[in-house]
Formats: sequence, C-alpha cells, structure tokens
Amino acid sequence: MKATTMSWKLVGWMGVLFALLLAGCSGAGSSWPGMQVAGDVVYVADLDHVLAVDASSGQERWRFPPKDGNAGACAGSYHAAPAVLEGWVIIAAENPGTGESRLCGLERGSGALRWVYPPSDQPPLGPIFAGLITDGTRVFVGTGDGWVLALEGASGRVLWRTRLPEAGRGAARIWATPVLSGTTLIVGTMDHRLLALDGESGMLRWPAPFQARGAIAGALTLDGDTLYAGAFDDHLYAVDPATGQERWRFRANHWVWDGPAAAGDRLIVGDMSGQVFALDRQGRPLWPRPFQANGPVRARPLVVGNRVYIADEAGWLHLVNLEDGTKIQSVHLAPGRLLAAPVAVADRIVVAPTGGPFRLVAFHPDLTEAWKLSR
Amino acid sequence: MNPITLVTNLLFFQPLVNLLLVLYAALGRNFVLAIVALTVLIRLLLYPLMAQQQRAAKKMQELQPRLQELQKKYAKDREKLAQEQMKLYKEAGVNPLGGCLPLLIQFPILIAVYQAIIHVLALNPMAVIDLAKLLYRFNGFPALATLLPIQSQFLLWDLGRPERIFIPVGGILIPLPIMTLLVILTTWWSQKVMTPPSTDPQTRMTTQLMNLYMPLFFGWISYNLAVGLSIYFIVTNLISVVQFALVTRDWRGFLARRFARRQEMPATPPSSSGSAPSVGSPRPRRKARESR
Repeated sequence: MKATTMSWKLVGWMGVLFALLLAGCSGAGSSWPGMQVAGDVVYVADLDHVLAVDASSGQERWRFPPKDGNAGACAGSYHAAPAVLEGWVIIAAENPGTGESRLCGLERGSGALRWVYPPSDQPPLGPIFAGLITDGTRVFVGTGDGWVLALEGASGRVLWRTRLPEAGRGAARIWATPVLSGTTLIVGTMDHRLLALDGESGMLRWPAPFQARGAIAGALTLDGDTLYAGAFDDHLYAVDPATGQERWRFRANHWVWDGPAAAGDRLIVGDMSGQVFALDRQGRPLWPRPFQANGPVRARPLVVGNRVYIADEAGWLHLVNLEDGTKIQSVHLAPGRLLAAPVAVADRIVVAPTGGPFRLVAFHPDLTEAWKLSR
Repeated sequence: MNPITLVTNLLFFQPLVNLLLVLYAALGRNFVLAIVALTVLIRLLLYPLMAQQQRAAKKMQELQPRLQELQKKYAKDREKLAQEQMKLYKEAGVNPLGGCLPLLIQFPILIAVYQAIIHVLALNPMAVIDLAKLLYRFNGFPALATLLPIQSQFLLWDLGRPERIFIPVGGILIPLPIMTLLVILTTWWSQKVMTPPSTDPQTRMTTQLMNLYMPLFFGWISYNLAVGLSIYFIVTNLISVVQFALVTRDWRGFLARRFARRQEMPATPPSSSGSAPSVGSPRPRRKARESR
C-alpha cells in the first residue's frame, strides 16, 4: 500500500514538474530586438520596451511604456523594428500570450502614445515580426497571418489592407521586412514567395509571385534595380523588382536569412552555418574563401567604408576587411546572442543583443567599446 | 549549449523533430496525420516497457491476497508490516516501484513531443533559429527545410496555438474549448477502462481522485498549450484503450461489459499507474474473463 501511495505521489510531483517545464518552454521571447536609426537616435524595440537612445552618448531620451505610465492597448512585447517618420515613431505591440498585435503611434520627441490601430474595442492584428517601413508619410506593415496594411503615419488611419493569396491556409506568413521599389511594395513570405503590391491600392502587381524553394523570412534588400532575398533553401536570389523574374541565384552553405548588405560593386551576405560571402553583382564569389564566423549569421552584415561588421548568434561581432574577407578584430558579447543586424549611426556601431545584461552596446569603428545601455 | 542539452538534442530531440517532418512529408503534408503517426510509433517503441509494467502489475495482483493477509495480521504494527511486505516482494521477485519506470520515461517523451511539435510548427522567429540547428541535411541539401512552413491550420484550429474559439451568445463571447473537452473525455475514458476497481477504501478513494484529477490536469495543459499537443493526447488515449483491448482480447463491447463487470468484480490490487495520456497502461483481465 505504501508503495502504491508513493507511486501516486510520484505521478503528482511529475505532473507539477511537467507543468512547470512546459510553462517554462512557452515563456521564451518570440523574436529578437528590432532597430531603426533616424538622425543621431537609435530606436530599439527590445521586448519589454521601445527606447529612443542618443547614439553618441548612449543616453536614453525616452522609453515606451514610460516608467510611471500606462501603455493601455499597446502593452505587451515589442520586437519589430519601428518605422520612424517626421514627428512619429510607429511600433508594433504584441500580446505575448496570444501573439496578436496592435500598431501604436508615438510622438517622436517624447514617446507619448497618440493612436492605436486597431483600437482596443476591435480585434487585433496577427503577430508582427517584420520590421515596419515608411515612405515618409505612410507606414507599411506585413503580419504573421498574411495581411499587408498601409496606414497614415500621423493618424493611424488605414489606407488599405490586403490579405495575400493562400494566407487562409496559415502559410503566407510575413516575417520578412518588406521593401518599397518606387510605388511597389514587395513582401517575402514564409511559404517561399515574393509578391509585389501597388503601394497606393494594395493590389497585386506581378503576373505571378516569385517562387523560391525555401521560406523567405529575413529583410529584403533593394539596391539599384535589383531585389535580393535570402531563403531557407540555402540560396540568395536576385530578382527584377519590376517583373518578379529571377536574374540569378547564389548557393550558400546553409539557410540565408537576411538579404545582403550592398556596397559599391559587391554584396555581403551571411548564412546560418556562419559563413559570410562577398559576391559581385552577378552572384560570383569575390573573396578567396568565405569568412567563417563563430556562430550562425542570421543578420545582414553592415558595411561602413571598406569594413564589414558581422554579428553572429554566438554573441561575436567581427570586423572584416571588405576587400578580401580577412578578420581585423572580434569582440564577444556573451551571454547575449547577436540576432539583430548591427546599425551605424553617429560614428558608432550599435548592436542589440538578445538576452544578456545589455539592451544596446555601441562601439567605435575599430570595435573598442563606446557605451552600454543596461536592461 | 551545456553538454546534457547537447546529448539530449543529439540522441532524442533532434531525431524526433526530423521524424515528425519526414512523416509530414510522407503523409501528404498533413500535420495532424504526422502527429498521429508519430504517436503510434512512440507507443510501439514503448510497448516492451508497457509489457514489463503489465507483468509487474500481474505479479502484484497475484500477491494481493497475501498482502491483505499481512495487513490484517500486522494491522497494529506498521513497521513489522512494512518488513513483511518487503520480504514478500523479495521472495516473489517483485519491485513495488517497477511500474513507475514507464511513467518516468513517458514524461520526458511528452515534453520532447511537445517541443518537437512547437519547433516544427515554427511559429515565431526564435523557434526557427533553434530549428535551423536541428534539421538534418541530406548531401548538403536542406531537404527538410523546404517543407517549412508547416500547414498549421486544421479545421478551426491553428495547431501551434492554444485553442481560443468563442461563440457569441447574447452578445457575450463564450469559450468553446472543443479539443480540451476531447482531451478530458478521452483521458477519463482511458483511465476508467484501464484502472482496476478496488474494495480497499483508501485505494478506491485514491483511484477516484486520480480519475478526476488526471483528466482535468491534462485538460488544463491542453487549454493552455498548442492544439497540436491536444491531438497527441487524444491519439495517445485512444491508442491506450485499443492496446488494452488487444491485450485483453476483449473487443466486442469491452467497454460496456467492463463497466458492468465492475459491479461484481472481487477486490483487485490498486493501480501503480495513472493511465491518462502519458501514464496509461493496460492490465491483464484474465481473472475477470475467467469469472464470466
């Protein structure tokens, strides 16, 4: 009898343990910080807050939600890169429990909340992982359930909203930050497609979507008259933004998440095996051998002058020579993982680690530390 | 990554994730079918353990009259009773906690299955970052990665999210947790079918509590976690009941007869397992069949 009672107790305790484990599993953040630069200010959506930080000094200008304020319908977690336009910062606030999101218009100078879309009495949007982009007055947003929206930045008024074909199957999720090519908005989807929409009306433009073999999850790159998209089929694709026709493709060593950094006659792109390639505008490798980082390279490298800054998931920031891919310097930011692309602002290289004690770390161009902003 | 996580991922979690994706590809890109097939495979792999548990349970069943005698004999001396019970177990070659082993193994499996479902559904970027490291590559080609994203929509549900279905009633939204209710119902059913009755009041009370507690517990988990896990629970429960029927070879209306039989069955030993999705185990019913 004692043995039986012990078994039941064991089952009970295992149950509690199981529940705790599962609860722990589901509590992790869903994405990494998103950054945007305007003037000398870095705007970072860093999970629990959105902050405006002076890039020269590392001084915080404002944060949302404010320390003593109520975020209202915009409470939640923040990871999509904000859109910054004249007088406004537009952010996406996610309910971490359901993944549903709302867009919030903040005053650029103070971070004060001015509008929310959809309002709290209407159903929210799906999850928003893609960065928000702007043409100066309008904001374009792609959602994780296949909607694309255009809003007036100053008021939050919806100009149009389009649901992508086949989004109802739960496949046409948009995680990739879209790009604007003239009046055409180009979005990448997790179900392997690139689609073009009319920026004025939201109507589909290309005769047929561009079809890759893997998910397109990272930021797209538009440089000159070519659109570049990385995919989970290990390829970087170069596409004509006017027609959606493929121009060339380059096979990397693993998934290509973000589009490349474009610098002069070359493109710099990293993959999830940690290799970084320099390609010419026809997709031919230029470096004698790829640069090998210490962890997967999810984020788009940053090119400043003749230097390349590469962030890897193991928490390393590498400084590499643009000409030949040789390493100049590396710094380690563990335990933080570097999943967000570094940005250059006010003669600083700024990174936003995922995890770890710091929200932002800024370096001088030679990777000596300039300042850190603690959580 | 610490060494324990690394080894666990390499030997267990990573194969499970890849197997789930292979099944998804093989079964017409139907994720529900993939979960069902994975569940069946896991149950088949665990069958030897289940059989071991059944044997241990049978031995305990055979010892029951002698244990009851000891309880009567040493009712006032619990220390002596424990000694005599241990002596009896030793003589019979029975480990009284032997039935717990399948439980200990199944909980980590359940957690791994949940993690595999969530990772393969790749519902957010962070999950996909982890998934990138788990997928096998064939001759350098990311064959499994091209299957992403998984079609997560199944009828009313997104398999990767908790079910939140509401129906408007008089202007108020009422939750309609269909999957959760199915988990509760099938858990209760499998418990009811597989847990033997007892004439011992303490054991009976424990069994009744467990029959109430376990379905609610798994219902609570199901309501709060991804619907894909509910599918796993439901399929596991149904397989448990079928497995029970196979072992007892009592197919024709075994359920109805079983409930009827309970009214007339003699005292049987308390269960050492809680059935339910993760802890179910059929038990031999030879005596019951003989008595009919």
